[in-house]
Amino acid sequence: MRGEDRLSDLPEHILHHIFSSFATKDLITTTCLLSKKWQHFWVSHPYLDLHIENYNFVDSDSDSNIDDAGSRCSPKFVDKSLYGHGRGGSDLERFRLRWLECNEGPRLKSWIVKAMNRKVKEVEIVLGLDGSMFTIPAKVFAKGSSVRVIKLEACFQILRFLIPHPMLLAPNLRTLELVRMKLPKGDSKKQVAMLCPVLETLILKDCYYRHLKVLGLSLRKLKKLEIENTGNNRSSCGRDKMAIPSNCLGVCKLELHTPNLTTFIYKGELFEYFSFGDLVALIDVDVSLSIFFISCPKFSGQLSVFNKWEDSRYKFLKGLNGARNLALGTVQVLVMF
Amino acid sequence: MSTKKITLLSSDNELFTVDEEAANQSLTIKHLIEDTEPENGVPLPQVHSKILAKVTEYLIKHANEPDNDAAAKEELKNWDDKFLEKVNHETLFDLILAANYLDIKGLLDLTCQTVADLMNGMSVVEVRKLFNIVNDFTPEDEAEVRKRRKRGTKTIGPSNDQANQSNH
Repeated sequence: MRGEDRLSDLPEHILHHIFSSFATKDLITTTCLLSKKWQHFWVSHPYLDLHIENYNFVDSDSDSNIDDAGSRCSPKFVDKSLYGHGRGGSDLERFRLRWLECNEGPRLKSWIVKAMNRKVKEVEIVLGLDGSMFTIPAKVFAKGSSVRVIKLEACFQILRFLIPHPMLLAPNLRTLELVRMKLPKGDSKKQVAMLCPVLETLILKDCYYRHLKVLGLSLRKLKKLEIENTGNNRSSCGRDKMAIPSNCLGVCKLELHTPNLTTFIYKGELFEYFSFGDLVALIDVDVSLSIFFISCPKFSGQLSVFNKWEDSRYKFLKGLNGARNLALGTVQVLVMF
Repeated sequence: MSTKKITLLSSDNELFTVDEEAANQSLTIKHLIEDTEPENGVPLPQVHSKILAKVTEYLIKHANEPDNDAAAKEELKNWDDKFLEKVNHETLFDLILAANYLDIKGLLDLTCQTVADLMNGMSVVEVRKLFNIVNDFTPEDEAEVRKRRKRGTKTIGPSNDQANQSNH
């Protein structure tokens, strides 16, 4: 059967599956000239993957050849992808956006709301903000939200890209990953409770908790929890310039009510207080704690602090003693002069 | 642990036997068993024995997928790569259709990603050649599409502004 065009003959939903990992610009470049059948394929593609570059984007480069156009796009292109061509109402599987020089909060907000209106299932945003602050529209986490996967990552400035208050009732949310995000304000007692009923995976990397007294994770379906407080997660932003406050944890207490948790990965600094409720399902625990070392005898008064750390490390590990596999490591040594 | 055996019947009447646990990764097979309790094998008239052999190989390997064991996951990933390494395009597309019909998410993801990887970094001309896609644009059409793409955001999309307005 040589010469048959098996690709074009596939059902449309399989074709979308095949191209689900393509950046939107690459998808257009690759498909719209294949044949007439393919010309408008990308219009109905439910996976949007947009990487905005404010300047020198290829859209306006009239000399560029379609075959080697870059995968970055302009804000205008995002408008068109979300609203344009009369089919802006079809459901979206995924809205992935990367905008490292974001200078238009209202526009970004309108995109997220539009994606929500298109019943998007996965939202992934990597954002670098230029001066101003941006709060994720509360709709994303609200009761009527269709979203199953949320990944939010702030670049460069930890305190500018914010989670709305109140947060986290999203009824369909399965996976939540927050990198360098400031957790919401919490109630009058500075407590935040995550209550997503079907959340299975929660990843919190270098987030900011200092304004909180309690972060309560009451997540009955949670299977995997990963918490990292090392300040080392800067790779995906592609720059070293990163303003991370020195103490992001403050005196926040971590409370776990996660009876189905099987995997717990913890790296870096410990919360000062924690309570582990019913960790009865725990199988794998991987802990790499920061170690503090006091080198200067002048500050031997700090030893009491050191002892407190030791004490909390002991308590922390004791709370996890039901696990079947326990891996221990050291992630970094902090020297105090 | 269940060791119940399930027999699958291909379109050319060949029988394949797998553990129930392996078979249940196919939601289609799972529902067929639940609904009809077939006695002489689960009939799969859309899948030829040549393809069903590959599918069952996948199902057996992926029964009891490791949840947390990193080394086992790595081994499985290597196995997946090898599994499709020497497969020709025809078989690959047959596997996609079979995975779709049998509703085996893992196999559909794997085969679709393999096709996507084949196109990675290719030009339009190369993709056409790879999959025998006939270019049915007239040179004028093609030039027009290229031109529109080059002009960028203003006219991006299949329809012009008039058509857009008529949709509202």
